[in-house]
Amino acid sequence: MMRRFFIAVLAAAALIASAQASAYDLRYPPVRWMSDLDRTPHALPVVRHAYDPLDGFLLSAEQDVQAISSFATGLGGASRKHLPGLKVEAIDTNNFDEVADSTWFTNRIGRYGARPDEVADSLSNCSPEAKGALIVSQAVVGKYRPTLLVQDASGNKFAIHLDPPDSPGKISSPATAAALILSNAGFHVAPHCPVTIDRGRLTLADHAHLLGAYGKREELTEEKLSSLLDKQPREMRAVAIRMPEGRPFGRFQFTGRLYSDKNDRMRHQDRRELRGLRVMSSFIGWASISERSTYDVFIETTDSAGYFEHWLLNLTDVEEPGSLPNPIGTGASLLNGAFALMTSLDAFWGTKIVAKYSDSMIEAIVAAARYPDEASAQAAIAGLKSRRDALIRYWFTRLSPLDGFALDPGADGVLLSCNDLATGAGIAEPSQRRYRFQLQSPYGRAILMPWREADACSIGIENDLLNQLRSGRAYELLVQVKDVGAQWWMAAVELAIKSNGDSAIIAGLNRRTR
Amino acid sequence: MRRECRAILIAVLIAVALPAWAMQPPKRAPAPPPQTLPADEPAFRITPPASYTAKRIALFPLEIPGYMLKALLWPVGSTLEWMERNHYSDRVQDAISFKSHKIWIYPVVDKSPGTSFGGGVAVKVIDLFQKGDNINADYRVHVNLDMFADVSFRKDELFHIGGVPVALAFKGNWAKRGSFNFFGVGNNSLESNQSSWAENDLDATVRFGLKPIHTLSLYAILGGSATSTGNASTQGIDPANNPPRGYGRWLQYIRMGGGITHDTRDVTWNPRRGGIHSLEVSRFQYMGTGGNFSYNDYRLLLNQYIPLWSPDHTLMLRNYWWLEQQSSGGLPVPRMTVLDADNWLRGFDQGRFRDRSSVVFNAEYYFPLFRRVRGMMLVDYGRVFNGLSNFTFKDFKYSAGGGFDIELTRVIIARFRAAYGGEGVKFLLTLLRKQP
Repeated sequence: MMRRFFIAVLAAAALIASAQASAYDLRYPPVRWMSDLDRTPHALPVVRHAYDPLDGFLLSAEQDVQAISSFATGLGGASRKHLPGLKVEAIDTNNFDEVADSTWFTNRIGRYGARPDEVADSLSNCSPEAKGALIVSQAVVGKYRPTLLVQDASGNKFAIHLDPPDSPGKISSPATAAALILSNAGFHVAPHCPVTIDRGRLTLADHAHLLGAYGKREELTEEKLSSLLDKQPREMRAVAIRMPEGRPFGRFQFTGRLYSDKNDRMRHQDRRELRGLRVMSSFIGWASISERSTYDVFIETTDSAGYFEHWLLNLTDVEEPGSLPNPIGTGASLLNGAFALMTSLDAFWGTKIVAKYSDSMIEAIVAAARYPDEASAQAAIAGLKSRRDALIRYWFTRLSPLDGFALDPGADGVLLSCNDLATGAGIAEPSQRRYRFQLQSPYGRAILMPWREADACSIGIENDLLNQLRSGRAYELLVQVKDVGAQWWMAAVELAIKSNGDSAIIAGLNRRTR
Repeated sequence: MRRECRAILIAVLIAVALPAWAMQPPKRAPAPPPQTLPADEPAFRITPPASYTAKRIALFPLEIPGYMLKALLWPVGSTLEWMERNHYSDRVQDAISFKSHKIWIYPVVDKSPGTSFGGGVAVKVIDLFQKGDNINADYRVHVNLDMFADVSFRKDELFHIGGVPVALAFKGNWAKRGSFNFFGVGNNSLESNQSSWAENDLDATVRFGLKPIHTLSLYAILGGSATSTGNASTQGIDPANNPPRGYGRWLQYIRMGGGITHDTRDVTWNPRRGGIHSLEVSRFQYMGTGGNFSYNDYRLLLNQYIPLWSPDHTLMLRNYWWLEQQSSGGLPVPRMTVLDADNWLRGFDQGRFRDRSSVVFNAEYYFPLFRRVRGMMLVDYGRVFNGLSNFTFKDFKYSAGGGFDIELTRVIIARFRAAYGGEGVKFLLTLLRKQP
């Protein structure tokens, strides 16, 4: 009996040890930006839910509709479920700890930088046609505001969330700004537009229905619509959310997998983009983020096959900027399996994106969100900047803020350079920074180049040294940073260097957390 | 020996082969539809690394208890989910809170080991005056006509001293028990010696608290309490003919004291990390006649929540010391500390162990089961003793068990516990409000 127990313990220990040993691997090509092949067409899964997937999307947070907890998307329910598994690092990252472009996320500002001049253009086609009837097919009685699903003359569908009649812009402007921030980051967010809608343009569809208290569905009549819009002025201020193309499928979950989606290969709580969304939600003040704000669509590539895209919808619960965020995320953390599993590497990834929102980018976004007056616009700008700075100060001082590593050919070897995100964000003085570098064989078995210090994140590696590296084998180049006068160096970034004779490439990196 | 060598060889092979397997670049998949990907970047199938799968397999045994309890409670979980889907929980919540969610009137149920079944009604008023006030009251009557009533009032910012808010908390309890268990005094009292007496308790306490920093509270205690006993049964120990000290009279006290609480919990309900540590010292000054039954009361609570390997999997460790220091007249037995199902030794009947002091160590492991259902397993380890000078770590009583909590509404939970301590399995079922 004891022998068997001993063998079982030994085997388990070996498995764990092997798992730890292979934590630093180079499974993908040595490129920072890549795409995930998750658009392989497959058959449309059978829809197992009996509700209209749009119902949940239209409902506001106050209603907290659990009735349509997504049985269509795998585990069902949402928060505080039995969530098996360990707290491990995200598993959908490439050699450079970046997320591949996929049906979940497409790198934008993190890859291409801020483009303030393009912000206004991105809202050009997200509002309904300026003229013609808006056909209302669905309405929801909200606790504070009604919501309508309309179709314009061109056949595009929009969800219209009305602002409170006495405070136009209270909901629509923060929601638009938040949607612009998330979509520029790379999340698939349905375009949000601040609009003014003439009540006279609203026309009822043939089978329009009203979703009332406790999810009760009833026929939507002219009288009910009038009563719903009773307190609204003729020119109603609202946010129009353009529905994504594709067949609506319901919400996605922040935990588990949708097994009927053949491209869904890993548990959602282990996806970096969903974990890092916690930092983004802290930036935009979206504390109530949950499955309620998510949406899957099935894109049909042929008559019988297609793939899923995963969207974030309905950011009308975003809070107005005010208090500083909790640097490690919002209060939503415990209600969201992916957020609860966020590690410091996930947070660092999110903060790298947040740091890309320059002052001019934030100002352009707030301008596009059409805040009702200058004071509230300035408050929004100040709030976003202070949240951004708080996140940067927290995470860029806990993990090494060195990024953007490059190896370029030099006169007598290669030149390694990198960006210090802390100095770029203004939280550290370039003249007060010191960097050091060490080249070693895997796992530090042999030191090939002892620590060399420099005033800038740049160092030359001579041909003599490169010639010592065995071709095709990955060596570790450790890079550390500290402020002048600081006692300790920050945790190192390990670069995997591969040599091909007199040239070398960076095959990947591993950011140490301690 | 050959078997062990073979096992070690297999383990080493796994340790070497698995990382090598993980290092293998993923196979390039067929080209995707051209219109869906940027042209300038390579496309690969992103897959979980083998190391991740290995970790999940190796540590799967840790998940087994959760899966087992989940299977056992599947009817409960699916009923709750069905209720939520059909808005029944919302309807009930709106009905018992008049849709305002400020005034709640709801039923309470109480069945502890060694007591009869009871039920009643409770009222909770949240922030009625919009000044951070909180009022709770409940009344319960048991099948054997035992009656209980509690009332509490709390206001976090009564007034300020130098910019520091002063909080007020009032708590009053009344209990009328026709039959309260008595097994004798001491850690080795026998279950077969069970007898009972009638007991009336009345207690009212006011606490004034200061919070100089976010996690630290200092407070003063002022209150009064009274206990009377009588009508003892003649089974087992015979308190009527061989009365313990303080039996058969009213014991009236004025209570004065103070305490300090260090609270670092992340949330007050269902915390995941942090802890609550408190020390409370009180003087119970006897105000009755016929003896000096005054005593000092010391209570030390060390409570820590430790997050485990997965969200909402939490280990709670608790250590509670309750010491009563008698005056010259001796400590009356009805006022002695008790260890039982209501006092964190859950495998034993109410009133099971009684002495001048008690200590209990608890370990509780919490894990989520369904959306509003949380499972738990518990181990209790404690004893009563006759003062610190007589304390040893021998003869500790222990119990182990499990249970689950169902969050019925925002303020009401149903709690079930089952524990075994060598005297039969004890069940606890309550319908109560979430604290505070």
